[in-house]
Amino acid sequence: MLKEGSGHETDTIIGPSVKVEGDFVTEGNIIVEGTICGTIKTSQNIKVGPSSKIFANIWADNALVAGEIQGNLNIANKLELTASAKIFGDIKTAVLSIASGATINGKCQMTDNKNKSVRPEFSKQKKLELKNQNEVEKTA
Amino acid sequence: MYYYIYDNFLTEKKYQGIISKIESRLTDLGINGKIIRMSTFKNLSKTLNEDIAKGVKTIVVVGNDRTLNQLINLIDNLNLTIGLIPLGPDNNIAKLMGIPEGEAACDVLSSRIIQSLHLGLINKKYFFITYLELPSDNVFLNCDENYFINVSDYHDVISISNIFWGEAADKIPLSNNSGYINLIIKHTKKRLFQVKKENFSYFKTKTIELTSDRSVPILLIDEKRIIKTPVIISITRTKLNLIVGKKRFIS
Repeated sequence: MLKEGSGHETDTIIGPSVKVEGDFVTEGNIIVEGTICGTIKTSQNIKVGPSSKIFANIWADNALVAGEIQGNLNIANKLELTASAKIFGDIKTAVLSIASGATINGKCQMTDNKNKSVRPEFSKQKKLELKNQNEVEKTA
Repeated sequence: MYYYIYDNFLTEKKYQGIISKIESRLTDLGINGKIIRMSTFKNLSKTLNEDIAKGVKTIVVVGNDRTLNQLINLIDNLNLTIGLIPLGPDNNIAKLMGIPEGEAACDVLSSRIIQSLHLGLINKKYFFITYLELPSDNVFLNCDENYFINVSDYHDVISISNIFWGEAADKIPLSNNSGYINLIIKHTKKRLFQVKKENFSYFKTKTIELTSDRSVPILLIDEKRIIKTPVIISITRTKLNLIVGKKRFIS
C-alpha cells in the first residue's frame, strides 16, 4: 500500500492548484491533491488526498482515499477509506477497509471469489433415493 | 579525428591563458584536431556538415551550455560523439555530466566514457538538452493528446524538462533522461505573516502541446532564448552521445 515517504516510486503528483481533464492513463503510482475530471487508470496505486476532488471513474491496483470521489472505483486489491473519505459511486474491490466517519453512497461489491464456500448438493430427490435404498436393505 | 568548436566569447583576453593550457594538454594526450571558432558572421552549419560528411566522428565543444545547445542545432546528423570542455559562465550541463572545468576536462575527454542522452524537441525543429520555464498565466497544456492540465493560480511556474536540476529535483522523484518529458508545476502559497508554502505537481508524458490566448514568453534554460506559443514539445528517438566524467549525476 501507499505509505508516507513512498514518494520516490510516484510517477504523478497532481497538486492542489492543478485541475486535470481527460483520460489519465499511467503505469505508475499517482498522488492526487487537486481536481480530476474524466477517467483515471493505473496499474499501480493511487492516493487521494483530503483536499482533492475527483469526478472520475478509477481503475487501480490499490487505493488510499481521504478526499471526495464522484465516480465508480474498480480496485484490484485493497481499498482503504480514511475518516474524511466521501464516495459517491459504486465500489468493486477485493479487500476493503473503512474508517469510522467515511461516507459511501453507492453499491459495494467484493470481487474476491476464491474463498467462497461451495453449497452442498443435497436435493430432495437424492434424499428420497437414499431413504428407499435404506428401506430395501432393511427388508432384505 | 577530433574537431574542436570554440565559442565566440573565448576570444576575450582572460581566456587566452587557459585556452593555451588546454591546447597543450590535448596535444600531450594525442587528441588534438581541427579548430573552428563560432562567429555571428560565419555560416558554421555548412562548414560543419561538410566536414562531418568527410569523416569527422567526434566534435568537442569548448564553451558553455549555450555553445553545446547551439551545436546540436547546427548539425544535421546526431550520430556523432560530442565532447565538452567547459569554460566561462553557465556550465550546468558539464556539472551534471561530471566534467570538470578547464584543463581537467581534457582527461575526461581522453578517457571517453560515453553517455547517450535524449534530447527535447520544440516544434519538431529545435533541440534542447535540459529544460524550459514559463509562467502559468493563461497557459493550457495538452499532454499526450489525452488529458488537459489547467493551472488555476497564475503565480505558478511551469517547467518542462528532459534533464532538470532545479529545487524541485530534491523534493519530487524526477526521472532525468528517461525518454519522457517531466512536467513540473511549482505552486507557492503566500500568506501574510506566515511562512510561504511550496508544493509541486509532477507529470511524466511523451508530448506536450502548449497553447495560450496571449503571447507567453518561454525561457529555454540552455540558451536563454525566448519562444512564442503555440508550442509542441516532445523527446527525440535518436540520442546524443556525450563524453562524460565518472562523477556524473545522470545514468
